[in-house]
Amino acid sequence: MQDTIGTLPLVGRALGRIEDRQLLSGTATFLDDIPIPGALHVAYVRSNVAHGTITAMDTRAARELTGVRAVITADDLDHVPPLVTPVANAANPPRHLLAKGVVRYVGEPIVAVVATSRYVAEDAAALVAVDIDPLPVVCTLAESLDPSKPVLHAGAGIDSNVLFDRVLESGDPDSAFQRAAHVIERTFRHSRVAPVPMETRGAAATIVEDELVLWASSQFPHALKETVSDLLGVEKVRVKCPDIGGGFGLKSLASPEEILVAWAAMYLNEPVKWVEDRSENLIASAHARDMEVSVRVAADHDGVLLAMEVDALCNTGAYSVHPITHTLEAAGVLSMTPGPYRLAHYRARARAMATNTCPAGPYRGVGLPVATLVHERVMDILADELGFSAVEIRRRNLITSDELPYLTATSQKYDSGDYVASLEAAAEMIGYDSFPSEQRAARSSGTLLGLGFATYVEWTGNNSKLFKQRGMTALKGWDSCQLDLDQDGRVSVWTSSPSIGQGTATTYAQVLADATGIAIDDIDIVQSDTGTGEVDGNGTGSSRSASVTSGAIILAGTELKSRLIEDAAALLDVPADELQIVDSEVSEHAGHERSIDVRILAGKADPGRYNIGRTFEADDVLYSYATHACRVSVDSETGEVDILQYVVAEDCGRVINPLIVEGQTKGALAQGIAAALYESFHYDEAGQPQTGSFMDYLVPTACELPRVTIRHLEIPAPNGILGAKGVGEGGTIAAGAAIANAVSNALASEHNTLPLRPEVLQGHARAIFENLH
Amino acid sequence: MGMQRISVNVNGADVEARVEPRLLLSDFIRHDAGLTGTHVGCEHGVCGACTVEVDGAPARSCLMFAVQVEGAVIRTVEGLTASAGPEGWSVLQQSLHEHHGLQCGFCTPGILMSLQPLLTAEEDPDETQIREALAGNLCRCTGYENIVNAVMAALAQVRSSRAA
Ligand code: FES
Ligand code: FES
Repeated sequence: MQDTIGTLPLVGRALGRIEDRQLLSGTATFLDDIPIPGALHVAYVRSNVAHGTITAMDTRAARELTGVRAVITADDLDHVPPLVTPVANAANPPRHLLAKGVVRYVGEPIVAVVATSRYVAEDAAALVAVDIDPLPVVCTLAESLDPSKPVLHAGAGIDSNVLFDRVLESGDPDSAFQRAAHVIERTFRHSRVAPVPMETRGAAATIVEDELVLWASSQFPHALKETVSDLLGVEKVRVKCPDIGGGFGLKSLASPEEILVAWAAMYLNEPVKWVEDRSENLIASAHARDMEVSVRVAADHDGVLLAMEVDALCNTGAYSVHPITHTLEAAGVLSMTPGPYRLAHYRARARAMATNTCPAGPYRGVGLPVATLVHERVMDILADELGFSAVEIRRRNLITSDELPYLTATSQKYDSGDYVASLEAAAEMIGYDSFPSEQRAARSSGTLLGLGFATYVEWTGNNSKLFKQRGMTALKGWDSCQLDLDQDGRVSVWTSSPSIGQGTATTYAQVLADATGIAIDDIDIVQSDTGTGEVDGNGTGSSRSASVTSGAIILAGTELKSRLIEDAAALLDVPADELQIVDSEVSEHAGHERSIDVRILAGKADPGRYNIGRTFEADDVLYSYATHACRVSVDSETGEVDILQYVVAEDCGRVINPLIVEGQTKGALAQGIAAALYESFHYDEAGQPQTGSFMDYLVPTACELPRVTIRHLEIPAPNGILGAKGVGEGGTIAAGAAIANAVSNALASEHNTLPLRPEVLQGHARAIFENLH
Repeated sequence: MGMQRISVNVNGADVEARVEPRLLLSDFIRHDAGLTGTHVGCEHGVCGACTVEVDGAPARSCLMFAVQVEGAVIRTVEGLTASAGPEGWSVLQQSLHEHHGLQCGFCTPGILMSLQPLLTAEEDPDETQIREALAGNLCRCTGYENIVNAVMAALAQVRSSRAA
């Protein structure tokens, strides 16, 4: 958008991050660092049973403990309605802030103890006795579908564990299957994973005059504010975000634990805080990607895709999550499994199933890591069956740049880019041509090498239209900002999308400096606070900050610039179109003869003149894409996978700050690799979590993760305001598929379940050498 | 619960306090001494976010009780900054900034404190050894590559200033 904001001296530069100073010196303020004198602490008593009826509760001993201020149960919350997240065409199960009569997963909060210290609160929580009569447990997808098993939300009039069941059909898949030369049928599985931000969740509430101020480690402060206000019937609520130690989707939820903190502060009229501990975070925050997808795919003799049939089952856990809903992963798989490929005939069904497990929530990539695993494994399986190379089969099926914009069988309007170019770039970067001979040579010396690709396309900067299409009616799709130029010439900027660690303060400052001509050092990006101006919007998530929130900043910045120029023109007696702003000084284009400092203008202006709010929503969804490629070796004895080389050829449109964009890709990739090779959240048959600590849930360390080489194609999005598309999730989306393809290639066998476990791979690896000898 | 008196030196200042014997060192540092730069990411000894120096050696403050450090000298990330160069940053802090070795920054103080021995060690670690030294600190944001690059650059700088 050169026209809108003129030249771009800062956008595109790898500026060091503004936010680093405080983070590096230990002076940042995360939720648990906020000084709140006299704050009381909450500890939750959680269910240790996956499914059962609460028959008795004894809280007397807890209440009598010195320092305990309140012991809260569902009975105290009678006037508080349950959380119900509206979703079109789906069952909407109610979720009480504290379990009422029935518990539905291990970790469900039953009692909240409020005490003068965390230590006392935990002592008291241990004194609460809860009797639970166990009910039969529904843990797996198969159990959820089993009619002999209990229906989890029957009490709320929901007569099935299938909470969401949606079919999409386009073209004529049946006749396409009939005339197909090749039909393959497979099932793909992704195991359950946890987002695990290093800072756990937390909230702190205080009453300031007649306002409820809720500090929350939240990606969606506006949604949280509205939820608290509606549910608790409080008119004046203000949600403030401190520094946030990662979110990855998890912190976009308005969770019962946070809302209860607000309730307790009002009830006691004292400040109250809760900081989740790691085992609560692992067991009881939100999980993701527990899915099984069966597909049938039809192709012709030339390997061209003709039709696809998809049946996706998503384990959505015990409740819907607010405001994201229980449909998000299912809907993602439904819409995006065709991927970047030309496909006319498509039939897909996706079901979200209730089980007695921790609720599924949003986690980096939402649905797309699974959709990509499916379409990319399908490509390689087809290639093997038909005798094509992995590159050739993709060349034949990828939508070409000439075909864009392309309307998919699922009504996605892929906007721009060059998918084939990303494939070719990745193939070149990974040394594809020389690989087959290297692979043969390695094998003869006892080493199993494999190479895998994954190409994907991703929806970013989602607008209200798309959220509606996905049934997620509680999501806004727009974001906004408020600028205020003060008398010292400094601009403060509040946005609806808090920084959760991805460097948005720097990104926004670069964009605003270019949009206004204000010196970047004079810009302060303030962490989100719903009490500022008219700021409202979706929040941080689904790769939207750089594309959507930046749009609002450009709109507001452009208005600020034109007001400054208009005022300077009057004061200097120069026509406005002869003025520019450079480094916070308004001057004549030619000669710089007459000029005035922005500070002076700010000092003279009427109050509010330079206080500007703007909202932005992308007219069309912005589709980012990439091809990942990696080389792996599989240890022939242990089955362990080592990633030898990893490359990414990606297009996120205009790169605002290469340092930050590459950091996002590498970090997202780390989470994708984690789910491909290491992480998996387990329950036993009784619904007891088996991986409730970092000793069992294996977050990779520096020893497990590889270096990554990234190339940007940088084809600007035609519909975005700056040409930027989202980038936060891409790395996660393709890693599982690329690694599964590489391992399948190394072992000359199919590996369609993530994570790829050494104990499974081991047998295949040994078999190869046994067959050789 | 009986309180116990402790006196420790934290970042050069003597601190006297009466604490419960069960008070974790991490809570003492964060809430009694008010030094919230030390973070708590797991409270079970795996993530390394809570790492501080106790008598010159890195230690996980979530695995110690405050009473165990009676008489000890403790340095936290805040102390690192105070003793740093004119920029107010140590070589590694500066290098992490330049190499974009942090995103949310929650793990960063623990990483800074864990790696101090590596920066002052006699021998030159290679990338594998650097990664091993980092393996006790979990970072969920970066994928570690930029942290490793930052450490390598910081080591190069430390070496060249030693040689000079
Ligand atoms: S908080 Fe101490 S190691 Fe994680
Ligand atoms: S920077 Fe976020 S955990 Fe390391």
